[in-house]
Amino acid sequence: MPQVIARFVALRLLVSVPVVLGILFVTFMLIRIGKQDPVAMLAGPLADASTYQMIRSELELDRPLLEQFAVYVKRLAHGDLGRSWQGGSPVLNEIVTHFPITLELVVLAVGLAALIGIPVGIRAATRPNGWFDQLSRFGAVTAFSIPTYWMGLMAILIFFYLLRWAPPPMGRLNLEVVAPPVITGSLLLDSLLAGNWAALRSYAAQLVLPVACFTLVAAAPTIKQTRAIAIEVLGSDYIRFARASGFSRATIRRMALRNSLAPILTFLGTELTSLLAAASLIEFIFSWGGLGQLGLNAILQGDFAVVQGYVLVLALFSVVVFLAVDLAVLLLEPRSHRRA
Amino acid sequence: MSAVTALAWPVGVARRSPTFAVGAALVGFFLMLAVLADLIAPYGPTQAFPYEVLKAPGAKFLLGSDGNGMDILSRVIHGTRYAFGIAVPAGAIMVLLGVPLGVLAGYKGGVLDEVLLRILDVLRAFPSIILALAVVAATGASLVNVVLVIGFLDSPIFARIVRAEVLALRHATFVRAAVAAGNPPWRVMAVHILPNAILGATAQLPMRMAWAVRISATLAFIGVGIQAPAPEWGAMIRQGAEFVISGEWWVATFPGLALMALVLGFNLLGDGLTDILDPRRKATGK
Amino acid sequence: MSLLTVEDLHVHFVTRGLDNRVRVARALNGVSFEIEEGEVLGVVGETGAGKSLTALALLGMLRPPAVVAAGRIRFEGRELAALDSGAPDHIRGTRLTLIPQSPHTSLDPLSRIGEQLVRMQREHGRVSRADALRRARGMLDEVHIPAPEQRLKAWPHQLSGGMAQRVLIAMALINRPRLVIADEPTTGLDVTVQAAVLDTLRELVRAHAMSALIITHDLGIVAHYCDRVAVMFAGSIIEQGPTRAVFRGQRHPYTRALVASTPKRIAERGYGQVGGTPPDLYALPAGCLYRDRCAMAAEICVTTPPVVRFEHAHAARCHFSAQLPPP
Repeated sequence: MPQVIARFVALRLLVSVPVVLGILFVTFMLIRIGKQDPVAMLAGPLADASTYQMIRSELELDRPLLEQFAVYVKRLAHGDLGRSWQGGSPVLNEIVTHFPITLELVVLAVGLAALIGIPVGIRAATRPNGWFDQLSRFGAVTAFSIPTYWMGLMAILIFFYLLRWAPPPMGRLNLEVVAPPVITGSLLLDSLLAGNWAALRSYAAQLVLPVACFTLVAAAPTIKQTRAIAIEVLGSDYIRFARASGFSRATIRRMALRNSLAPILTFLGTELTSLLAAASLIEFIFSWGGLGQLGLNAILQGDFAVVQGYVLVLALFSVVVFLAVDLAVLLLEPRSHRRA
Repeated sequence: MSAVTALAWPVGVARRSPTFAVGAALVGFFLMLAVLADLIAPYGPTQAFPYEVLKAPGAKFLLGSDGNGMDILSRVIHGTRYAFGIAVPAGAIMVLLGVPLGVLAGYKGGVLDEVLLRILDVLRAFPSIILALAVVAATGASLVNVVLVIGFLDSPIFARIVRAEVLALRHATFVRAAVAAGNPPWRVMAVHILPNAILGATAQLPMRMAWAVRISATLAFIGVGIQAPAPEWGAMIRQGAEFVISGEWWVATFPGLALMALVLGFNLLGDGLTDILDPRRKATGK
Repeated sequence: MSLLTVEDLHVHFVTRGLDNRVRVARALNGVSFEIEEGEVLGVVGETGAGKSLTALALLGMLRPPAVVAAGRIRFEGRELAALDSGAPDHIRGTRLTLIPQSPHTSLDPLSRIGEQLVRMQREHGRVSRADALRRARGMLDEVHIPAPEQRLKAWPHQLSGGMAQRVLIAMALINRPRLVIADEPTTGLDVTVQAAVLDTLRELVRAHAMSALIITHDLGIVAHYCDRVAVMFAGSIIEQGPTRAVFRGQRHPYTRALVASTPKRIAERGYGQVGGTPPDLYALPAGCLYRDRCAMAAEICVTTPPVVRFEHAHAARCHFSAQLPPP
């Protein structure tokens, strides 16, 4: 069995390399052939032609495109992701410090969305077109139709401005609170570990709005997909046979749940990856300071290296998540054992 | 058909799928606004009243005025033209590109199919919103660019749906009969497969259009898509964002409500269509 | 008293079309038959005749928009509900069981065979796992599955079609039912495998003095395995009786057309035909349901044909049953 797993992982990683490289390539080319001119931004309006050229060659933007890409990939293999043009810090450092921030947000949101969405979806599927089903579907579609950033703005308006329940949206911690030392990267865990209750409280308060908005966005597709999966499982031949054979409702429910597990897991993987990118909007509104905000700003300002680093993280993250999910499915489903 | 029987149809459809009915009503409403914008809007979309900046909703400005002294109601109404002006052409591109691609890939298979699947793989790993962002940032923010980017980006997804339908249809008896009767491949694809494959994909179209409206507003909000003073809803929310903390809530709220309502309308329309088309398809089946 | 009595069963499907008008599909129209102890009844008919629907009604699996418009089902003297009540009644699954149509998809893909056989028993009574497992192994033996010990640990996808069908027979018979319903038990199986599976089924049915209802569209199966046969058309039984009597007499034009379209007959006498299209359940003709396709249709067929009885509990519904020349 372990060799099966090892082989699966190895094969998947091998196949992923060209995909990731492809994504990097497309990003690389897109931002370089576009209208943004980072050289002009860095040089400033008063620079003369020679300064312009000097900056350009320093940023290596005067070399042929393919050569630039080849150099980038080579450096990448050595762990060098380049430097940010807004301050010069290495991109790798920026990623390492900012990624856990976003990850924490996304994991919390997906976790909550699953906790809420899966039971709702399943309940809706047991009585299709019943009132619960119609209501939950309508609710899900409505939540899905709300623009994320607008929802954030409205949340701030209502809960901060009008009701004064939420703290001002100025980042993860209030200014007067001292942050705990970074151990895991998760502020929740780090505050807990350090016994820094002030930070924990402040952070938890700040978390409420962004997580709530994010969860709402994530819950909608969760409900819809879970419902679809559950309906298909409930309509399958083996469930029909179980009913015809007079199995108890509890047994049938258990059968259905077990058979729905693999597709639901696969779906959650997709959710996780797409939400990582959607997080950038939430971070933007709430000044969260995570990787998403970093990446978004980098795209707007033409900080190429950071953009590439951001895209690389997104791509790698999805590779890892899909790998983990597919591995879990492989272990769960006896049918796949045959192929392996 | 008498008036009574003619009325029976909307009632029957609404009964069959209230989601469809609500969605159609919403979309229809906004469409009407778009068409009659010049007649309905009290002021012009960029008509500025410099001395009446940031006025709360009241008699003169029903939904308030924004930071430039422009009437929000009029801008929201005119914004429908931007929304449809993006959704409809983008949708057309998706269909014109995606459907033939899907049919070819599903029917012919081979290299084309493989390439399409690889592209879909890449898209799956690469959230389209970031890609859209990068592309529009690269090519500049204009209506045409936004439409093209969205249309191109969503066509592979459309193609995948159509491809799945085609794969199922390929083995249908009537298709095999057509092939056996000696029809050339292009004819089988065009006459036999295409009409049936489209049916399932049709339900997806409104959802894709909802996505188009959404993502163009998102791009505008970030500052990459269409910008002020154009009355695009995303751009309006962008402007309104700075006023939320200081309490001038109306600048961001109303465009957002309109955006939400139209996107909701499209989504409900699509959901309802799936409801209506699906069980009937299962009944007629192969 | 018969083991199973179905009395004048009418099942309709009531829906609303897009034009908001109520549409009624009359799927079962006065189905009546009986099954005695130890008897094997075959139900034949074209697709859409109502065979599987009758089975669903017997198993209490009908759901809205299905509506029981009339009729009763009595099993072992007790009345059964055709509509799904949601709660198990411990008759279905124990005394009245089903061998479903597609063997592979009817097995839980995530449970081993042994586990499923055990579950089948424990759902309906207190049996220890050890006993249940032992019975499972014995049952696999009875259905002639080689190496039953290993098979208990197998996953459904590891079985061949014929083997899966045997497993399903085992599952249906493990609680020693009085009546087992086999819904198209040979679809998708090779011809040789078909015969073997049916032989096993017959052997077990006889060994345990069970009754069986075999739903099929294959007249050959009826001829070989069924004591009696009921021919269905448009939701009603147009002829039923002892197999040999029905095949010899063919007292209904539809029965004749069916028999004439079997390969053997075609080889002997050339192509006959069962003309026309399947009846539209939303718009069935008044009187004889077969008259739109019948070569012998006459004015009198606008009225409901009477049940004409022949010897040995052989009956047919046709105005001209008695006058039909021998086939």
